[in-house]
Amino acid sequence: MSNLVYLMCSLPSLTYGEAPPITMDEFLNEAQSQLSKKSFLKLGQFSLQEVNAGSGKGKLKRFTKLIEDLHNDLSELRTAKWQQREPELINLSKSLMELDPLEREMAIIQWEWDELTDMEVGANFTMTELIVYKLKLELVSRVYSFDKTHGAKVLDSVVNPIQNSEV
Amino acid sequence: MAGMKIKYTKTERARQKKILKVSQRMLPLFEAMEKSLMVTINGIAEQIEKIEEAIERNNKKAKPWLAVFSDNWVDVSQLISVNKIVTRPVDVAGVRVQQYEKVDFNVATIENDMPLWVDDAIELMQEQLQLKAEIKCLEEQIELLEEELLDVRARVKLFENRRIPNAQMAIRKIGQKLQDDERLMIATAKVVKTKNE
Repeated sequence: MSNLVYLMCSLPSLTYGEAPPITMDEFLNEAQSQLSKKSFLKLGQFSLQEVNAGSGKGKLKRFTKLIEDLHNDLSELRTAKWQQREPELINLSKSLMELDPLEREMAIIQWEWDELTDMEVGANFTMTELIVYKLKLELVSRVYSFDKTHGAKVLDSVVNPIQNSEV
Repeated sequence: MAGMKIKYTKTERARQKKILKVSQRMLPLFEAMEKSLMVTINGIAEQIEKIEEAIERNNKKAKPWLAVFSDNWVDVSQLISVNKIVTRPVDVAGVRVQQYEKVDFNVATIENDMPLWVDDAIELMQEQLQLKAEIKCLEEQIELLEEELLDVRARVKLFENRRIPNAQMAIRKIGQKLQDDERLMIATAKVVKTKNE
């Protein structure tokens, strides 16, 4: 417990929309040095990219359920677009589809951020708070990775030149 | 014409007349071919311009959301690649070229946990790759047509500057020589006749 308190106190605070003050590797190294092996393994199970429903208890179970619902919403949005019908969504708003892909992604990330913020209320110096910190760090890092110039270069590298083509 | 040895015979004159006739008949055909090739090349160049405009329009449309392509969760280069550009051979202005049909893509399966922007990105990349493949085919067509145009222009110049003037000159010279010979023959005959009398 004291190690967890020390760890939480030593971590810089995260602000949505700002550059991450710590990298994921730095965070994991710090966590590994302060947590027991079991707690560190538990922390490692949680990632926004690979959330398995039921991998947590209490609030964390709620979070994994929300992410599962989000994935279901994404699937429904894709199917509805394919079938040219109105999507039936659980969490996301239908108005999302009117936004451009960046605005849409930012809206989804904002929703995830808000859900995580709700989850950490009253969970001071607990594993829940640490896991929420990790997931928020993932979100902040992801938002920070959105760069117009770099994005244009990535697109250009795919569409220019045409490689592996045969006429 | 310089250095060309002319046989001053009626047969040669007939041969040169035939060459002139054929050349005068062929020249307009080659000129028409040259014009047709130029029109076709210009048409293809215009087509390329239109496709480039479409590419630019797509880029402009995507500009506000290009930042997602640098998403650290997704490796865009793994989403799509060109497997093959499918073309079919066609004759354009008498030249066999490859016409663009479609692009055969390798597209990654979109999983439910993939961000939603991936769908739009794949759509955009597919469209841009298709348009660029079309430009590539059209540029290759222009290359082949320009080669043919050079060949046709060389033929036009050959007919205009060599064959027709040479034949005309040969016909004129042979005609003069034959006329001179005829006059000489008549004059000689008259002299012989006068002497005999």
